[in-house]
Amino acid sequence: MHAFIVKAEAYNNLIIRITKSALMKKNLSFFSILLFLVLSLQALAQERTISGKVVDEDGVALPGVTVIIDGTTKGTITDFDGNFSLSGTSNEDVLVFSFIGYKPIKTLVAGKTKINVNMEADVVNLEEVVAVGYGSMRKSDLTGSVSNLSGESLKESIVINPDQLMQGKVAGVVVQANSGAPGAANSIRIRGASSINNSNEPLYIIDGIPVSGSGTETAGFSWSGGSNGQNIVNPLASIAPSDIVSLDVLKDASATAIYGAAGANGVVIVTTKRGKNGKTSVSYDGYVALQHRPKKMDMMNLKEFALYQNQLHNEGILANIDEAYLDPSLLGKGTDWQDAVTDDAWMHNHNISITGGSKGTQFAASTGYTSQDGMLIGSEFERFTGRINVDSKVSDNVKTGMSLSFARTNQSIINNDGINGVVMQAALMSPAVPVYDFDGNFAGPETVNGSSIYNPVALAQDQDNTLLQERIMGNVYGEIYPWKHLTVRTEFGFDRSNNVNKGFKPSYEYGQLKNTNIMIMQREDHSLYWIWKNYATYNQSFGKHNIIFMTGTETSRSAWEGTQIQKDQLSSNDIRVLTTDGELVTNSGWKDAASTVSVFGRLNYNYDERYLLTATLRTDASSKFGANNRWGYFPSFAAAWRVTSEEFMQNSKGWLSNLKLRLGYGQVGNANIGTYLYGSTMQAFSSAFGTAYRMSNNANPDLKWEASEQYNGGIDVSLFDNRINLTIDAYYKTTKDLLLQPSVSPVLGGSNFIDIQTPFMNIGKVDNKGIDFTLNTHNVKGVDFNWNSNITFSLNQNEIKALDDQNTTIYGSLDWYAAFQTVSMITVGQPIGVFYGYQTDGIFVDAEDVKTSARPEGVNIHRTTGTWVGDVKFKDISGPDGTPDGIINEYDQTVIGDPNPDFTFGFSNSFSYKNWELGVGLTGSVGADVLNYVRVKTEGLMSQWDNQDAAVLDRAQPAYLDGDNSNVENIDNTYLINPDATLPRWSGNDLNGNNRMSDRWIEDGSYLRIQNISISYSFPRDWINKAGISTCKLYLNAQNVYTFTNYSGLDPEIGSYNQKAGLSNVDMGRYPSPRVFTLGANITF
Amino acid sequence: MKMKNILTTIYLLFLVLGITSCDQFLTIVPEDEQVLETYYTSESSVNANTASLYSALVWQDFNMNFIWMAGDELAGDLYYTYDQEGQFYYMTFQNGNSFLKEGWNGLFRVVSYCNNIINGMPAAASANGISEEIINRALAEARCIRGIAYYFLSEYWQDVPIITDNNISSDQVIRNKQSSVYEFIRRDLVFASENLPSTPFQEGRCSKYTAIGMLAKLHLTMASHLDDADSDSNFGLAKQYALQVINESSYSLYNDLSTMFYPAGNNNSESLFAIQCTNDGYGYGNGRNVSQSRNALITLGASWGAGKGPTLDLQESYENGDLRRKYTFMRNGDQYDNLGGGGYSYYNFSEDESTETSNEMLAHVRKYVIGANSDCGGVAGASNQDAGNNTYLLRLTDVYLCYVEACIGSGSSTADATALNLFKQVRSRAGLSWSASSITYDQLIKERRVEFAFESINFLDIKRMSYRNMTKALTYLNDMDRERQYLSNGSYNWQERNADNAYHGGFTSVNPEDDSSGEGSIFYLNPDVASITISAENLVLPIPAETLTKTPSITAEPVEYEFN
Repeated sequence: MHAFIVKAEAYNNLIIRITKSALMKKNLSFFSILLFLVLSLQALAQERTISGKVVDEDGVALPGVTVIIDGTTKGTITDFDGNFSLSGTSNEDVLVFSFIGYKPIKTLVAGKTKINVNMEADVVNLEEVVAVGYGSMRKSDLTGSVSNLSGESLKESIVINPDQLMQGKVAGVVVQANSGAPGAANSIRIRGASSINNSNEPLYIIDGIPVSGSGTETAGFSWSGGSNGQNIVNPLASIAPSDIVSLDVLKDASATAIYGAAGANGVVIVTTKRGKNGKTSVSYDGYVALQHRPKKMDMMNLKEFALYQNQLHNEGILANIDEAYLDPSLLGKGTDWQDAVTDDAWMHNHNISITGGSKGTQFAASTGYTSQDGMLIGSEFERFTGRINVDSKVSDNVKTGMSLSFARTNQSIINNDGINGVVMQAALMSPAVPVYDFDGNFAGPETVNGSSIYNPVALAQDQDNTLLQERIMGNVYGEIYPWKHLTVRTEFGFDRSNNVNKGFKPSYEYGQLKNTNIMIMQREDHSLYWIWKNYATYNQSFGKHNIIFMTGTETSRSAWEGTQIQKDQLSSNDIRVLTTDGELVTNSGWKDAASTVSVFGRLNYNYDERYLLTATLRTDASSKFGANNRWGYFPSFAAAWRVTSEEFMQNSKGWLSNLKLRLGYGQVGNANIGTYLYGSTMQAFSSAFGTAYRMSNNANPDLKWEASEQYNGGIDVSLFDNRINLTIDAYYKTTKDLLLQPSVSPVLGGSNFIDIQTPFMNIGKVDNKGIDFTLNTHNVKGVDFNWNSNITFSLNQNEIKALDDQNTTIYGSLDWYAAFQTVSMITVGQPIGVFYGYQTDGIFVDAEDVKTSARPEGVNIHRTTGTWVGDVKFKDISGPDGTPDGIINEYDQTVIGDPNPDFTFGFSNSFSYKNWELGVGLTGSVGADVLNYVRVKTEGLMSQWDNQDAAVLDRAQPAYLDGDNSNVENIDNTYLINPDATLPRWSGNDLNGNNRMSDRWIEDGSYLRIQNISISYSFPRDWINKAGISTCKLYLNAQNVYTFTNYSGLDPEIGSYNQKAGLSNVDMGRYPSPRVFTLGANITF
Repeated sequence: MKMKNILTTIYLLFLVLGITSCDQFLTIVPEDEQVLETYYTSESSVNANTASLYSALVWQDFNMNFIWMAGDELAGDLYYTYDQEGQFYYMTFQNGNSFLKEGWNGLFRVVSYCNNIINGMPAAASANGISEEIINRALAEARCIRGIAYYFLSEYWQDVPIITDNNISSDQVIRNKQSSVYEFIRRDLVFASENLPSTPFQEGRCSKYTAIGMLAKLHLTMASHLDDADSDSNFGLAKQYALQVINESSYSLYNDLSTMFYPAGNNNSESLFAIQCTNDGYGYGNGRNVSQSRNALITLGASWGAGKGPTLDLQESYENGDLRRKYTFMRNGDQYDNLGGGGYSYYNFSEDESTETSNEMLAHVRKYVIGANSDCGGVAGASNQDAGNNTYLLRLTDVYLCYVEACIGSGSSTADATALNLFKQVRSRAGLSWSASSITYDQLIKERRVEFAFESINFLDIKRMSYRNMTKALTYLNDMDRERQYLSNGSYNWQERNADNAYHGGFTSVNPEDDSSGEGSIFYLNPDVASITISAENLVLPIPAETLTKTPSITAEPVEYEFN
């Protein structure tokens, strides 16, 4: 009942890559000056002089860049302001600009006297530095599986929430949007799902502050009657994507073990912009975008609906037919409710950042604004962000810095999933019902038995569900260097958030659809998290032995509290504030906290750049566990061999730039459970006798961490001067001691909210194994034209090895009002969340077929109260003694689909020609099945009033040999007009269970999506520099361009319903992801 | 360097502090919930714990749906044909029926709550110095309610597991014979009757007479197994217990039929045990105002009862002038001033025919339907199915009629003067007299049926009848012809359909097309319904599929329970 704002226990580093690279540059510039002295002696002999300036992508001057005339040793380096001057060149000379960490650039002199160069960071460069937690490492020194996203690859997609940046870009990471609604949560799976009950979302470390990937829960819609829909919002909604400079994804256990108990689902380290030495630069990032609905369901229009009514009449189902429907040819199309709830919608985003600094102090500050109107009316998202990062050197051996960010998001959420959701209601509302009546008021059906529960257009606009989130995150650190090999760092961070969720259900009268009870709900959540880290890093080389040893402690505490109040019987729709008006229905309050203490250490050993070794150990203690098992220990080891650094490989350097083999093992944990589950609490609730108390659960004082063990083997290969980079990792991950509530017989108890629950126990085991594959290639490398591509491929196989003592299957259920509830199961020997139900075997084509086939238990042959010609035939696969028994009952249920993809992939390309750049990104998923629950309603054929998919016009239609459609018992009189039909007959009682959970609703969800196509143009510096602009890029981007799929629903990318592992790929009328066309600009001054 | 030293000192200091206060830092007791270890500290905490046993929240899975589907649809009183809910009407439900599961799980949940208190509370409370009297009273409440829950379990499922400790492993769950279950219930109720006060210490709680009244009903049920050797003595005990309630207790018949099933009648003078319903959200209240009410004109909110109505056979059971009729179901021309937010007139159709249409029974449910908020003190619960009117599980009238039934015993009628007197009292409240000098079994059953229609206990009467004579019970059920339903003829306007003669004269079994008079009838019996045949197996509900899967041992033959 309580939504815990569970703050994941994990941690971060603040040794930022940029700081590192700045230090690196400083060292390099020393060598460069030497080089300069040597080179300039030779330059004296020449006459012709070229000058210019070298800047990086952000327009910041790059000192120390080597400028050489190709094929000679003649050259120079740039000065502190990035300027250079080189004499003695001829028109045919090609200047080569090179700088470590950046892609080299070649330019033909061709008579120019001034050449300005914009250097791009080289993402595949081996010297790239990645964040690894409590520090950073050169990528070449890595022993574990870590993927990095930075620079251009972060700019290819236009996203509102930063977790979407990883989609299709990182092997082993599957990103699925749970909903296309603005601000909705995604399902991120790093190397598969391993936890059954707890979150499978990764841990994010945002500038050192851990943030759980589990989204914030809102009160949803069930408080006002009906279904909730998806009510989890994105946990990263408060981060502006344009503030991010890199995402480092720690995938294997040897990499995440440093985060110990929080690392089981992988860790994503998010680093935001920090200041640099040099001129202050101001940049603007902004775009406007138009969102368009890419696809609609093919529902019946009015003419078709009338035809359908006539068909029902002829079948003998409808005694009377509305006169309006008698002649369908006279009718128009009626209301297209899907169109009515959809609107092309705008979004725009603006972000201004200022970076700069002197040698002593650097800063970066940014502010941003994003506004998104949802494509379905009534949904909106608005965000304001501000951020300041400062780093300052106090003295030669003391450094300090801080980060402070503020975000305010305001969302308007519409009920978008489930039977009460706008998508489903728009599909089911009869086309005969207008949106507005003659007076311009919202209309509704004129019969009591109207098709929808409400007018979806009206309620999307009239009913409120808003969520205002304010979040302040900050940290401050101090770093001292008592000895040249030692760094001691202390860092304190906090994360404060305040959320207000308000709901209002107005009274209305849309035709016969009425609500007279005006309801209001307000929920407030407040949380405060703090973390204090202290660690020391020792770094020294002894000849060929290089050692980095880091050790530290960390303490954190998360506290949260909240209230929810609900009132009804308000007197007016006008005042939507919680005032004295109305009657109190219920209120609740919660307050709790969790704390952790950790000690950790990591040793990196590197012999001669050839043999690399990493060992980590972390011990965590959490307040969520009792004294018996409070501490968990999480070790890891990894080794790597850089084959290309061996003597004997030196001859191969020409084609084999890098070859590294890696091997790792680690243990990590997961403790994303509620607090005090090791003890018993007494739950208070209202009763006729005043507040009553009941024990809410039995205690388990031995509760402990969920533990994952993972083996990882990887290979990194770079060919032809790093033009081809290949990384392959294979892993085997086994998660045991899952925190689960064993499923007991209902005779003894249960795990419903209202039960005296069985305690959580450490039981069960889940395996994941798979392969991550990344291939970066620089296919065409030229002066003007370049083509880079990136392929990621992720294959993961998931299998449940054990559950509780009796290996009791855990069933995944839809909301209680669904036609059927049990849809999936978690059972030994199968992947998580396989679909479970009956197998169909076509439909009963004639009387003989009905008589001779297995029918549902206890159901006779009868048109209205039994099975009939045209009903679905189910396969009789088993019975009580394990063999088919001629009866369709629960023994005939089986696994009918797997929502886990066989593999997913991403393929992105960037083509650049002079100042133009074209990006094309594809993503895809193969082999995942989808439960298309929408069709249970749109092809349900149970209510004459519901609109149905146009396909139902071709359903099985019984007719009668003697023309008498009133005899409901004589099946021999019945035949099918269209025995080839695939959809069953209309059946109001559906006693045959045509609509039961069966493979009828399971579809292949494989797809290939053109995720984005972008084209950008960077204005030549010569032009814009005069206006004081150092870079200016304009781009057009189309996202979610086209999806190739056989899936019949709106969007095959479904995700996990409210992030639940057991309910993946269940399409409950999901808010479709929009197609987005964006026009944007990046300008740096 | 000085700075460095200071920092180092601070660092070390915190490290030391950190380690020493670690356990304290890591022990967090919830601030928003009581914890078990410190809960049972006062008499009021014990009472607040037993208060949970009465709450509809705890009974919800039994009380929301199963109770009327099984109790009223199976009994042939309530017509409803939709999907899994209608399967109880057709007797076609299978062990996968989700409401069947709710009923079973819901009753065992009540048992688990009782066991939790019975097993855990005494030691904890007594350690905190709470008096034995209070502890025993709480124990008696828990055992009384456990007995009531088991009564329903045994009557619906016959042989069920007796669970006294919920922390056993699933494979230890076996079924016990119905006779053992009866004995188990008896012991619980006897303990309760010995430890509960004569009048409840808080209105609505169990009293000594709740337990004794249930004992009367239990012994009557046991006695109805005529082949049992103790049958006669059980009839005797049933009479004796019933008389004890009738003569000794302060309970009395409640004479206001109009508020009897409204919140105003909660815990009235004849309510011996009722599930306490409150308007506190889904599950807390009585779902019937939403699930049984005809349409939104009655509740001014959700209403799902359009397709539900009293079966024709139930309607035919009411004598003319029976005051209970109007409070049990609505039919054409009925007027109510406490429905629909200040008044509701029941017609099969209204001017706007789509607003109100008839159902196949030409009548709708009235009992437990309490209208809109302004009709019932603001607790209509029309949004969350949480109306504030209690669900009776035992009222004094039931004890009266149990006495009469016990007097009839294994015979077919009684002329017992007390029985006649009680029987007359019940009828007189309904505006009816009784002139005969005896009461036959069939008359008693009919009286019980109209008295308790839609109170979800009539099926249990039929169960007792089946124990006496299975053939008789099946004939009784099958003779109802519960499948009968009316169709309306499309050629009449709404006024004609609502006219008086539409109800009386318009009823016919003749299809208008076959009407030789040429006038046609307004409503005629639907000739196209399949007859519903009920067999002996239908009278024992199947164990839900979920329990079979999770507890395979439950399919073993039921055994005697070993009482210690």
